[in-house]
Amino acid sequence: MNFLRRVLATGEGLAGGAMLAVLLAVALAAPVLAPGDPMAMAGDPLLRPFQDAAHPLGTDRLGRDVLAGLIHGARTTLLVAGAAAAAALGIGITVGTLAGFLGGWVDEALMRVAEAFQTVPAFLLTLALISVTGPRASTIVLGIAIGAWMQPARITRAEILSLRERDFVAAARVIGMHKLEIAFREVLPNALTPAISLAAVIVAAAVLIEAALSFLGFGDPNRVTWGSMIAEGRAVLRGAPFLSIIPGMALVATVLAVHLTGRAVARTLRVRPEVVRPEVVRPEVARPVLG
Amino acid sequence: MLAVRGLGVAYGGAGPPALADVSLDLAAGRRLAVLGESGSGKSTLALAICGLLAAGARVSGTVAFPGLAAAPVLGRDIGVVFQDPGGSLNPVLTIGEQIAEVAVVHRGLGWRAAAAQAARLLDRMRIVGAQAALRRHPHEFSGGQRQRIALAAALAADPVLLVADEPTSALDTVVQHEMVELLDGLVRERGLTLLFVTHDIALASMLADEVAVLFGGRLMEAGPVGRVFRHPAHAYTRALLATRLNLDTTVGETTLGARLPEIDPADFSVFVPARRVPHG
Amino acid sequence: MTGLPRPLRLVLRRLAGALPVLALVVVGSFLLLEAAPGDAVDAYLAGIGGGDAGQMAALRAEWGLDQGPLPRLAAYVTALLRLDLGWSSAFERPVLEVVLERLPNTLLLMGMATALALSLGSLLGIVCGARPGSVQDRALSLAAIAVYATPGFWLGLVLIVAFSVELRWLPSGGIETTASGLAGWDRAVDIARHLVLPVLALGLVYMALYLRLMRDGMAELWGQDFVRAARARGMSGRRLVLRHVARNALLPVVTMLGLQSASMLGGSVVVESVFAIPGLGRLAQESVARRDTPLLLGVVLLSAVVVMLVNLVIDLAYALLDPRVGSGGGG
Repeated sequence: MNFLRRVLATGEGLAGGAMLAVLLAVALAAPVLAPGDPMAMAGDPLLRPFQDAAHPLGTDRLGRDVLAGLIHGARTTLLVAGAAAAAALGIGITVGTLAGFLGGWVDEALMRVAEAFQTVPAFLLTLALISVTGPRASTIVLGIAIGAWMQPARITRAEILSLRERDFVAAARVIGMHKLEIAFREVLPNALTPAISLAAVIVAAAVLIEAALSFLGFGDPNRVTWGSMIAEGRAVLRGAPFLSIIPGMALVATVLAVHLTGRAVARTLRVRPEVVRPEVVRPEVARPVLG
Repeated sequence: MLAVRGLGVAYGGAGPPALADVSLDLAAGRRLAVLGESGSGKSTLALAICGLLAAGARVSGTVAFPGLAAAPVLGRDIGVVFQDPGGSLNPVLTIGEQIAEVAVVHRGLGWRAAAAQAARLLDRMRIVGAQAALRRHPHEFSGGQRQRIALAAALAADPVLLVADEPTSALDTVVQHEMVELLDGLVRERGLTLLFVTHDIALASMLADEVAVLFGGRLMEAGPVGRVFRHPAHAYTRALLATRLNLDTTVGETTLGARLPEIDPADFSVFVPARRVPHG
Repeated sequence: MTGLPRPLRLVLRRLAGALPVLALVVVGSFLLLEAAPGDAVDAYLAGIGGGDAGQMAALRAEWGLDQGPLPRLAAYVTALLRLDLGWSSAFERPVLEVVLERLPNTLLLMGMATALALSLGSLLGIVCGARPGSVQDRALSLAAIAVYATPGFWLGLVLIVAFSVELRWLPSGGIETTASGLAGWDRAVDIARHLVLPVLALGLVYMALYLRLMRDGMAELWGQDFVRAARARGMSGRRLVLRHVARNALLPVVTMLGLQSASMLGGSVVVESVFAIPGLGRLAQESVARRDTPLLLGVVLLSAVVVMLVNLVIDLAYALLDPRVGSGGGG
């Protein structure tokens, strides 16, 4: 709780945290805030925003309510991004721990695999997976995850390498704990912090990738997403640009919120040594008293 | 050359000041050692004189340079050498560039002439192959060499005052000795005024004409090095000298072989009021 | 090895390290090829209007597709070594042909976007980093954070609405005016006009990144010892900011350039789609839409090669900028 308070104390943390909280609330309360199917026709097509009280943000070509789309889109976005980030962190931390702890050829091999994944653009990788399975939310989550696990893996591995030689590991070895057990039960919990701070970056990237995929028509066709709304609006870009602009602003706000919160968390976690004042006088020593 | 009056430096809000009411004089051509344990304010004093204090420092009192016609320009009139040899040089520029730019900026030399001068300086600093060294980068040199390169850069514009903050503390013992000899020779050749900060009494006695003893940000005692070390007037100075063993070396004629171990600042626990000082 | 000049040594070392990585990518794409429904023969026959079972069996035997997975992998690799990337059912041409045709447009787009991002980003980053905490720093940093959060495709659409629809200054798509008959300089100008918006859409996001990197780097460097030492030698103003601080802050920016090359290729997919530019990215989208897996994998492989080459160039550039690299393990 103290940690939370410290994060919120920074300007970034407050702004980002507030925006994230609103987003989460909207996503969770979607069925309540915008009951019914957001993909169903709700009114006259191409109503402009702020014209009709029933449709405060207007409607699209098929008469679907933009606000409802935004609210339900928030759900999809956060779900996919959250799941993808969790998966990426899970894979990355596991691989990093194995590589760091087991060392040797396992380490070499795993790092080469990481390099290979890093050479292929994550977006293309996800596209390739979609071409095999067809557009599905689970494929998107997997695609983003396998495109983003490398960085957490590297960071975890670096932490493990530095922790490996510490006393408590040697003690565990003496008691006879198996190598992998030591890795996962003793060393890993200490190495988690830097990898967790990557979570924000991955979530933000995931939001953008998912939006881009939906925009191109490769998102889950059964869900309404901000990306697909923007794509819809593209057909009437000249006449009704608001259809593309509004969901985009939601995207910007979301990514911004995640970035700001991430930065605030990272700053709070990082142990920044106080700028050491050159001459710190020891208060308890007064003028010397000699016998 | 240098007149400090009532100098005080404080940082931030709470806590005692880093420096309080320090006054001293340094005549041209003389060498002053500012002696003290860590936390005594000696580095702050040197930085304050140079005008290199960190932002947020509140300075009171005055620092005047009666020997100079105008206010001194850092780099041109005052040369500074710091403690950490690894941290004084820009890692991406060649050492030749870094030494030469001082002369170019302050003395209006062309690059060719400045480079030639840099080579001469490096030669004097006993860097082997000075001409080729100009094109090398700091990471290619050892700690001792880097300290000498920093010294060369400090002297490139021909300053009149050299300020050295613990110039030998980060060096190996053997290398320290070379550095001291070098400093000694350079100061003599160029008629420099030298102010150096140290916690090493032996260094002070070898290199300085005068010594100022600081403790807790205040000046305890100042005077000619022979007098201060032989007949210390202040109790702190007495205790300082007394914590050393083998106190029968003659100050002023200390042979390099008889260098005493430097004072371990932890020894200053003798100043906890309840304890008595061991007799020297 | 030690007799060779440092840059050459670096290149050779990187090339040697890149081979296993490339091998892994090839194996990965082979696996994907296997996982896709249908195989090359199905695609080919679908393109020429179908064939009977006899034809299929014959073709399979000819292309080695009737064997087990390992021989198929061997066949795949040998084909790759002959630069045969397979057959594109969507375009009814060899994949290599299609891909190489589209490559220059993407390289042009990416190259210009990188140039914009690096130059403008570094410049503005230096303006911010020269005086961290100042008004210009705070304003620019805030703007950068906002830009960095914008999706490239949406930015593209906004730019089209603003400059193409409303202001009518710039064209809204394509890489040049079709069938215009322009040549030489006029054609170049025409292409340039078409590229302004896409380059902005792709590059502005990275510009924001490099701006922040440069600025953060400089802000940290101001506290470093060697900067204080440079000040002590009387260095100040532009000389201090540029030669001493910015020059060091440039290093992490260059490193990031290499790391972002893959990401930028991915970004070009959407930007090329939005602006209808016939490049590699748009090709990837088309190949997924038309279920042409060999073509998609051809794009993937080529992308991997491009990324590796770009990284190599960036590494060389970094080695030139940072003298500590590659000199016997560092000082």
